[in-house]
Amino acid sequence: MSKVLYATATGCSNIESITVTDNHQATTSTAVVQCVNKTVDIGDQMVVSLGYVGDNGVVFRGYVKQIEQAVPDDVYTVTAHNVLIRAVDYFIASTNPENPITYNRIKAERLVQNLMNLAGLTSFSAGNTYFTFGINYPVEVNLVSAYDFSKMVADLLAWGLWADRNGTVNFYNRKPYPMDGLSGQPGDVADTPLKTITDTSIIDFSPALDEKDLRNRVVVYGSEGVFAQASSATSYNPRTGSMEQILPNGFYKTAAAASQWIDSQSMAQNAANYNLALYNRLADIGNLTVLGDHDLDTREVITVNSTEAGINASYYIFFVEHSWSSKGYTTSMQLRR
Amino acid sequence: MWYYNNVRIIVQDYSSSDEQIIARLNPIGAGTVLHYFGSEDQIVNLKALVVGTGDFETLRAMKDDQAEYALQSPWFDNISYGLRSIKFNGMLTNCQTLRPDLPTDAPVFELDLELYRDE
Repeated sequence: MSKVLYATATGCSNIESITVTDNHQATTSTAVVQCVNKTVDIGDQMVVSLGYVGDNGVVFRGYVKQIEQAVPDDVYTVTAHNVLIRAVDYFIASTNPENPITYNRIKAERLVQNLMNLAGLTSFSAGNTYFTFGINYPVEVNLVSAYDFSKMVADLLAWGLWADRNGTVNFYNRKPYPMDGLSGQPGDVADTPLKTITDTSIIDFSPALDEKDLRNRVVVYGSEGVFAQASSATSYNPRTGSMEQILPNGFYKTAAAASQWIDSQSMAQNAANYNLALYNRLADIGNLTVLGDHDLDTREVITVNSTEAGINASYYIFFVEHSWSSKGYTTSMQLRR
Repeated sequence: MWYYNNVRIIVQDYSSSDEQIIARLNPIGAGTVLHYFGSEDQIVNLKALVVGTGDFETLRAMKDDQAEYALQSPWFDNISYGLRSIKFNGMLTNCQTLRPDLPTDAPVFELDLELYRDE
């Protein structure tokens, strides 16, 4: 079987290689384009499409942040980050420190949307958090980037904040594993796998179990007198689908969150419960490399059906890297469930 | 007769390569998959003799200017190539007759030329 490689990147020609990476935990996705000729400049919008002649698609949309020229090779290395970099770069500093941006009784998703709008990111999509900030004390936003404050809100709720390939900022309950819609948390919707990956496209696959990120106790500190904790002696094992004694009996690995904007006991308890559900589980990780597939993107769920590996299960794409060069087009992923 | 940018060269050996750039990927459950990246531009290797220091220095200077020059030959129409590399040996000669228009004591150089075509 043969395919003719295809790649375009705005303002770049005679492209030698393109690498696009994204990570569930990363602030932005990144595109690195090596090319012989370029018209693109710092700050320009860049759209990258990858794939094959007759089968390609957009894998990245963002802004150019760095251009490096190699001499004597005369090859340009253009680095771009997706649109969320605008929120990272937008530092909120009021002219009068006594009069910062203030919000009262505002839902978490509206708070994040307002901050994104400040950074010029108006394409925004969010779920309903049922979390309201600024009930007892106003939320003051000052001397912080729009992204950092929004990410703090997302972390308290164990939600996700990311920009997609279309340039839309998303704020949803997006856990780093396939969701079944049964948790009872706001925004928990069962995932539908994007596609099934089989041995005919798998170049290598290495599954592993990891307890590094497991936390079976979460404490949350809010404003004065508000605190909560959640803990569990057993933890979720995705291989068996059940709660099991994984850490020694009576041993707790603790995660802590503190925010003055949590000003009610119920908010603190919900934050503790949501984060315990997020962290109290083994990570069933699979490092997978397949023939290049532009459809594969971080935060999608895929089914891996590998006879060679003896696995037929759905995985969440935690990390993705599209590598396109004279060595071919491959897509490497870290999968989790 | 052969000329490169109007410099007379006495070609003794000619070789050329045109290659496609193809990556070979091997999924665990299927045959080899070929990814066609594109084609390398033609590379021409010439082994040739040049008579006289004037022509020799003219050729050497072409290595440094990143320009392309016409290669005239009895085989092909004029095609422009850039001179990527030039290697030479000075030949011990008492009396050259390759170029009757030049003095018989003109030096003779044996050259290896690598020419790149920018298609």
